[in-house]
Amino acid sequence: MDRSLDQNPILNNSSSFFERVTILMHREMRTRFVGGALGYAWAYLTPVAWIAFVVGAFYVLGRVPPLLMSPQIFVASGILPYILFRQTISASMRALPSSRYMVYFRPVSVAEILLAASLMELLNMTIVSVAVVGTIVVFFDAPMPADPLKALFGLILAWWLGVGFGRFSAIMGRLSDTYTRSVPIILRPLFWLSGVFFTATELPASSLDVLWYSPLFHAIEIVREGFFLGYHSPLSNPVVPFATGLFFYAVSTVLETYWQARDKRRGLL
Amino acid sequence: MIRLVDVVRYHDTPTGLDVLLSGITAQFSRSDRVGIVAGPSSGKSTLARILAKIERPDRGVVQHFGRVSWPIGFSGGFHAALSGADNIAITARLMGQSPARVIAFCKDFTGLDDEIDRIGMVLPPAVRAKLGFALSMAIPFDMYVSDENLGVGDAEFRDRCTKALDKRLQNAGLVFLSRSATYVDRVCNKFLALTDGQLVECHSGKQAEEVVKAALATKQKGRAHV
Repeated sequence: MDRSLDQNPILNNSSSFFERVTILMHREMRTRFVGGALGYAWAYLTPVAWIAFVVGAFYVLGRVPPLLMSPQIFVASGILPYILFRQTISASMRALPSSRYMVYFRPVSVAEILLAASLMELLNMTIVSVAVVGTIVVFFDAPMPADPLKALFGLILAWWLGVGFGRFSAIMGRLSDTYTRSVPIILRPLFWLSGVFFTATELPASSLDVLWYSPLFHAIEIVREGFFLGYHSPLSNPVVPFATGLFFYAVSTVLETYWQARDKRRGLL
Repeated sequence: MIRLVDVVRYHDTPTGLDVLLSGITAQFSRSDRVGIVAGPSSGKSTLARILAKIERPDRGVVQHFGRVSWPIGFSGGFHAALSGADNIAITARLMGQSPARVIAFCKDFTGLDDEIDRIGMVLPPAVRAKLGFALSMAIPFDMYVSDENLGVGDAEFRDRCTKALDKRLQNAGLVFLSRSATYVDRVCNKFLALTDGQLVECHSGKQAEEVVKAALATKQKGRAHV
C-alpha cells in the first residue's frame, strides 16, 4: 500500500472532453441491458424485431408499398429513423437519473452524460441500419440505397431531433414527473403521423399542410429520397428537423439552469 | 488551493429562505489542514460540495488551483450492475489515471482480491465504503475535501485509512468538515467554526465546537422567545 502511495504518479491534465464522453458511452453500454442472458444484444434485437413485426403487419394487412419497392426496404427506410429518434429520447431521459452521481467526478458534466447517451444510440442504430439494409439487399434482392449519403443525412437529422427533444425531455423530467409519464403519450401519434407507413406523395394536399409541421416526417422523407432513385418528396426540408432539434436543445439549456438552481434552493443536490 | 470569494448559498424552506453560507471569503492552500466544525443542518455537506465544485453557490466564486478531490470516501458513483473493479476503472479513466494502477492500489489497500470483481449490487455496504475510500486515496489530488469521513470499517482498517491520508497530505492540503472537535483536533492545524453562515477563526477544534454550540444555544433561545 505504502509503496504505491510513494510512487505518487504524475497527474495527467485529467481526461479530455472526448475521452470523458467515450468513457461514459462505455459505462452506458455496460450497464444498460444488464442481467439478461442476451445482454447488450438487446440494443440490436429490439429494432430488428420491430422492423420484422411491421413488415409482418404489411403482409397480413395486404398493404402495398407506394414506391414499387419491397415492403422490407420500404418499412426499414421509415422505421429506422423513427427508432433512432425515439431511442435517443429514451436514452437521454434514462441517462440523467442513472448517472446523476457521475458529476461528483469532476469535470464530468450533465451535458457530457446526455451527449454520451445520445451518441451511444447513434452508434447502435448505425450498426442496426447497416445490418438491416445489408440483410434486405442480400436476402430480399432489394437494390442498394440510390444515394447513401442522403439516407445517412436523413438519419442524422432524425437523431439530432431526438438529441434536442431528448435533452429537453430529460431536463423537464427532472422538473416534473407528470411530464416524464406524458412523453410516451405525446410521442405515440408521431409513429402514425411521420410517414413510417406511407409517403408524403400519397397524401392529399390538405394533409400535407398539417403534416408539414411534423419534423420527423421531413427527416424520414429525406431518408426515403436517399433510398429510392427518382423519389422526390414534397416534405423533405432539412431545415425543419434541424431547427426543431436546435430549438428544443436551446430551450433545454435554459431549463437546465432553472432546474439546477431550483434543486439547489431546495437542497436537493 | 481552493479560494472562495463572497460565497452565498441558501435553501428554500416552507418557512422562508434558510441562509447556509452568507458571503464566505476564504482561501485554503496545499500546506493547510483546515478543520471546519459545524452544527447539524448548518450547511456542512453543502459547503463540502461547493468546495469540490460539485455544487455551485447562489452567489460568489469558487476557484480551484490544482486538483481538488470529491468528498473523500464517496461511493455513490458506483453502478450496482458493474463490478467493483469496473467501477473503479471507469472513475480512474475519467480522472486521467491508469485503471490498472488504481485497481491494484484499491485491491492492495482494501485487502480484497476476487471480491473486487463481484458486481456492485452484491457487494456489502461495508465493502463499498472501503472501495470508495480506497479510490479517494488511489488518485492523487492537490487538495482533499472530507465531509466527516476520515476512515471507514473497523479500527484496524480506519488506522490504515488514517495512514494513507497522512501520506497523501505530505503533498496536499485538506479541508475537513465535521461535527466532532475530537477528530478535527487530531488531524488539522487550522480551525474554523461554521456558524450563522460564516467561518469564524478559532485556535482549536474544541474552541470551534464551543463557538458552534454557543451559536446554536442563542438560536434556540431566540426561537423559545418567539
